Amino acid sequence: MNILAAGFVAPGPDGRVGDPDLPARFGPRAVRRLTRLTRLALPAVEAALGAIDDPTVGLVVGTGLADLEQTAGFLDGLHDRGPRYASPQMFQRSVHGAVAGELAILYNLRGYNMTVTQGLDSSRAALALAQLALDAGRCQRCLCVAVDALTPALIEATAALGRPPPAEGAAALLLAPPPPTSLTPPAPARTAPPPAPTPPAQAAPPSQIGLINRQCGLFIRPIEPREARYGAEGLVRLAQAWCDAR
Amino acid sequence: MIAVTGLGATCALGVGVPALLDGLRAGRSGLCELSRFDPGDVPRCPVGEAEIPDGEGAPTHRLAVQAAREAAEGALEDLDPDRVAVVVGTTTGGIALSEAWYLGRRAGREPRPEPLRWHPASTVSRAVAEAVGARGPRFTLSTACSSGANALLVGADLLRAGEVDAVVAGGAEALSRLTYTGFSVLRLMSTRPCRPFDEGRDGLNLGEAAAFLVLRRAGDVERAHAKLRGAACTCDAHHMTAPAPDGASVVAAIRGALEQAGVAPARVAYINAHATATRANDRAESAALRAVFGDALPAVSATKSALGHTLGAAGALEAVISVLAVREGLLPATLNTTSPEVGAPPDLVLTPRDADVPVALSTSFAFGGNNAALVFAR
Repeated sequence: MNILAAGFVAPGPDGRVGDPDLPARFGPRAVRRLTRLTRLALPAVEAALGAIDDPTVGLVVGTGLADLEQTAGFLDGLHDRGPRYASPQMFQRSVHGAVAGELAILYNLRGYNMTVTQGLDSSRAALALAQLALDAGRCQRCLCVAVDALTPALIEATAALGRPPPAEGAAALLLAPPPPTSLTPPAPARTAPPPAPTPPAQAAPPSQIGLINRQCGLFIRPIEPREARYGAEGLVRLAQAWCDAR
Repeated sequence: MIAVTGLGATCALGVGVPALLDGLRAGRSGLCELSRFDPGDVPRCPVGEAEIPDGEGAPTHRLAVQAAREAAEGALEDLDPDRVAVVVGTTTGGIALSEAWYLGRRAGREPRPEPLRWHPASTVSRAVAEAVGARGPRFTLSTACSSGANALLVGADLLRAGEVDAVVAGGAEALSRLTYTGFSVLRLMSTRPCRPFDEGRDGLNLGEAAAFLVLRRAGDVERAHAKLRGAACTCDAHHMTAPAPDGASVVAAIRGALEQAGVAPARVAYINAHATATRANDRAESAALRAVFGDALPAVSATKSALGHTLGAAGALEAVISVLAVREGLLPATLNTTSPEVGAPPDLVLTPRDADVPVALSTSFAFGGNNAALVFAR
């Protein structure tokens, strides 16, 4: 696959992103309605897709846990005020596919549209599905997005399980098949990927996962899920590496 | 071409594909009164409850494992487990356990946190992979109500790409307070058995199910229940819950699946429609089907009227029904509908009947405007 463009929103040392800068062109009304998950992803998507107006661009979103803020908010309403007064908006935004739906509406993406949730392996899973969609000819270009948000409900749940606190972040890569001239062997790595330990037995990776960008001689490989604190982290690091190399 | 070599289903019509087939042949409804939980102050609506097996995990996991085992029985022999993939569609994963934990905390109790381990939807595909002994790639798709259909699309693409030699693909979903209350406050549920395409339809009934298919490359096997000839996925890019009235993206999904299948619309003998019995969905779907098939619209049925809308499992369950339609020559019924609305499919199957079905189409639509279409053939 070739990376045509990339963007990312990486967390600080506290694992948080803060308030991301949102593209002004969508207007405050449209942005206000979005889930925090989509708002996190939006700067990355804007950097990767920018002004491209092509409804045939495919979209694959990977997320470890989707928008727990909406799920928890819906359950809070159900508990505090009674089921009849639970928020229908929060319910419809709680689905894993909400980010893909909201991004499709904002960017008028009417082609292939997929959401995968694979825990800490969500970045790799999203990349694999983007590659699969391109190889199958389901789209000529594919926007691969990964996003996860740090929410109070997630912090509460991970603390209850005695696990270390997670983090949040988002990344987007605009991908395309390699050009016909790229039948030569991949160029040597210019950017070293993070060290890749042996993958755990339960996370057998799809083959050929990794990005080869021959135009800039870059080979990058996603991190293993055991290294990640959140599902989107692999794609965030990939996008960072690509942007640094540029 | 992709062969379907294994089938499994647990749903409101019973445990196992034979029970599903018997129920469809008899035109039986699996809808019943809600017994899983007290819905509180929202209306009590009919649901399609499945028999939840004992086992580890949340009800969704247990349904998934049971149906996947049935599908995989005898279908994965002599295969390298590293070359067997699992692709599962589900919307809420283990929410039935995690919502109980969360609501318990809100009520001032200290419930044990261990069930939270089953919350992530990705744990459903892990449970299925362990149950069937698959060690290849694993994907959990969550495109809401089209998840199960998209799992089959991705499974077929994995096989065509040569990544694996078999895929256990399907969907699973159990009832939960979250989904029941959510559809209720969206005012999308009916308090009576749902009536797809009826002029008086007033909403859907929820259900729970798991359904799995084993997919292989047709050239690698000698026998198959049917072939998955084509699949396509598109997005409305219109609204998060309402379908685009023009149905253009639905049309694109159906045409894309037919094109991949190399099948002209005139060869389709049966359509298992998404048909939730909400006002907006059925109208948009009727318009889309007419745009593709014109006046030659084949027989259509809406099996959610017998099973309820099983969300992440629906696309896979209806794929199993479409395979049975092709294999058995059976057109299942649309129950409860007595007065089809103007513009409804002209051959809406209201009682089960036999027919020659060389090609069947199954459609699935979802929140976020996600549309999927699958084409099965002999």
